[in-house]
Amino acid sequence: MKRVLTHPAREAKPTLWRSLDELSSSPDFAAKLEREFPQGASEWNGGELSRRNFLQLMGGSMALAGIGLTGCRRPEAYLVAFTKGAEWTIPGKFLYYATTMPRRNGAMPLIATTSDGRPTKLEGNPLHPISNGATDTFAQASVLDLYDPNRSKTIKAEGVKTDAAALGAKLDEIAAAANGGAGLAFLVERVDSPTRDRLLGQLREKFPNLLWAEYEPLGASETTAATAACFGGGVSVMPDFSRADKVLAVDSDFLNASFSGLDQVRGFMARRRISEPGQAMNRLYVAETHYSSTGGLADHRLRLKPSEIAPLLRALGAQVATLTGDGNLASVVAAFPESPLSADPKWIAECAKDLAASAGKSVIVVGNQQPAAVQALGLAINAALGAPGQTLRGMRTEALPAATIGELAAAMQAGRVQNLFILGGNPVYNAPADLRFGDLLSGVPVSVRLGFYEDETSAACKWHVPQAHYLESWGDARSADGTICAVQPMILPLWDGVADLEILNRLAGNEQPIGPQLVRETFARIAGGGDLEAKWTEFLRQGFLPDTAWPEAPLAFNRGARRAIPTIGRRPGHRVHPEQHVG
Amino acid sequence: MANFFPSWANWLPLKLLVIASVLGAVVTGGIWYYFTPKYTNVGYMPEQPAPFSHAIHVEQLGMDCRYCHSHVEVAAHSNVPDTQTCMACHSQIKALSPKLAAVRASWENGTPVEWVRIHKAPDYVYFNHAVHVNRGISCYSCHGQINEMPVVYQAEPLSMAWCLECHREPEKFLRPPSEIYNLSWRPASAQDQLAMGAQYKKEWNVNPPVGCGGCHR
Repeated sequence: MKRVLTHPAREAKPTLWRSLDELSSSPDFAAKLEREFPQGASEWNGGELSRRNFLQLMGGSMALAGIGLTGCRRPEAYLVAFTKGAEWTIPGKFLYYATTMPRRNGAMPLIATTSDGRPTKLEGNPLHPISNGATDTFAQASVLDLYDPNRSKTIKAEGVKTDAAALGAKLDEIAAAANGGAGLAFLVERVDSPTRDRLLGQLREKFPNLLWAEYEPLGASETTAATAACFGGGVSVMPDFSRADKVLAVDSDFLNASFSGLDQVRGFMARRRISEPGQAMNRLYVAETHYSSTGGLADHRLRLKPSEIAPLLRALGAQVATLTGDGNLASVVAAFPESPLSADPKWIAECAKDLAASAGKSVIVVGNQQPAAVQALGLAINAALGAPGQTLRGMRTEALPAATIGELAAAMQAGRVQNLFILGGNPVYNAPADLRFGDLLSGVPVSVRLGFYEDETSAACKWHVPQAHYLESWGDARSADGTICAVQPMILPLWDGVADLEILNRLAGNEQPIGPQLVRETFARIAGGGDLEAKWTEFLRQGFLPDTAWPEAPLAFNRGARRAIPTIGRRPGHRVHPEQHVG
Repeated sequence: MANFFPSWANWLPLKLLVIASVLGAVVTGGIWYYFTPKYTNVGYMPEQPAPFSHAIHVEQLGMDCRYCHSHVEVAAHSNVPDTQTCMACHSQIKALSPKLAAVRASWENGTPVEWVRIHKAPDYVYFNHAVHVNRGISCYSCHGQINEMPVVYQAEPLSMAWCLECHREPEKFLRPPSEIYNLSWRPASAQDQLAMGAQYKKEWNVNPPVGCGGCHR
């Protein structure tokens, strides 16, 4: 029997489709499907200048062009010297300067290579113990940011191009009208800069009611809250992997230097390599929710659901409490509600046994992104393992108090913010969505945005000011250990960029700074008496001021807080999403 | 059937072959000999934006090479002077000369003067000025009697064979360090040159590379 193939009738709206056009099946698209090429594209029906004529003419021209042997002539090249030579430069030779990339988790000390007065390459500063000549991908790539053609290049007011004089006048007007700072607010990025702190002090003196908020989408505010609850405020803790025999990383990618720090990676890897007989290798346990470089190096890796991070630490804490007989940890663990855990209990038991067996030489690190309560539980286990003072170093820091973006949003909602300065960052894009920061921003009468790009936040602000790159402006920043590092410009601002320090300085009512003046004033206060000029020169030459690291702080677990640990980070205003908390 | 080709056609292929090979040899030989830097580059004398005369500045005024080409002793690249160097004198001397219009325009606008490049080593050749002038090779050896040129032209071929002439026998060209920038200095005799050159070569440990990697790095 002959088979009859009958295709089903074409549906009006196809259920299977190869492109969005086909799905919408518009008449335009149907017409396009009929012809492969648009009308007139595949033929040339000229009279005089037909396709054939065109090829003849073109061939003739090519042949004639060859007769004069123009291609064989010597091309003229030019020697183009500077009009005014750049200071110290020798054509074809490099100059090296120490500078620093300010970062939220500690500045990266760098050596910048400049040729003909332009920075072209960044490497780590070998004199600085944190860098020791090394950098990470972000520092390496940051020199390209400087030459990014998409950088914002003009000051704009209400979308209209304006100039620095107009901006200065506006800043003076805001400073004059700000009545004790009521209605004046700042949203800045997390950077430890002594000069910024000094200017903030001046501003607070002049405008006692100003609102100073810090926001980092990947910030360490949870870590700060956890540390404050466990060891008291003004202290930060840093694991010292070079002294740790056993390490447990819980949802922490600490071997990625961009998240932790080069010194931590170096400390860990120093114990990973065996160079002499008798040396023992460190052991790494990793419990994580995704693949990471740390997990790739683990001796024992446990994959875990994100919701089971807290239950894992609770189970582990209970075992460590039993093994070490630490009543403090036992009561912290008891305060956490029990929740289901699918992980292998044997893995947890062996890990706890191993950590407890090397008490004082073991450490637990919990990822920054974990809620404060979970991180505090990790610190409590560390305390039971005898890590504080051994594998967990405490540092007394001097971070100035700052509000959160949640508090700023609440003030904006209540109409208490008239003049808002957003210095860096892109909060409209990356602030928690339920703050509706963009909508709140459009309700602020005067908003000035200092930004590297004209982005979502610029669109929502009244003023946009191009931000100077760190290779274009003077500044200072503390590295992760607290050492003050010099941020030296390698070149004048390419697009008239403005540094955040200049804006703060102007609002504080000071003169326009000349060169490094602002940083030098801060430096004079810190470095103190003696031959200041020589000290300053040395500071710039080696890129940092030695012996300014944070002082060591003893870490004593705050026993009074142990019952409250599961609820830390849930204070109103401290966090925007308390309901997200686990544990 | 009559012969299609006359008898002389028997020799035609051979004749053609001989003519073609002679012609080929002449063309090849001509290109080989004449299409070399010695014939194509030597004498290149382009018009410059300002008619700068080395003869006036060096011979008449007695200026040293290094006043303008200031980094020749320290860098691989010997710089041409920036406009500022020209204007250091010419803001006072011949300040209104029409010959200096291009230099004044550059000074006022901040746009550099575009001097036409004459001496050029190819991009695949590494050449270091500092190494040569600091080890007894005078400007004269490569740039010729440039101190007497009203308009600069290329005096030497700057070809690889020419480079190797010296790299193989540097003692023929090495000079006392005091005479590097004295372009009119000549050795007393060829024997003197050889004796002196051999001594410098030994004392300074002059060991010019003759392998490919020396320059084609």
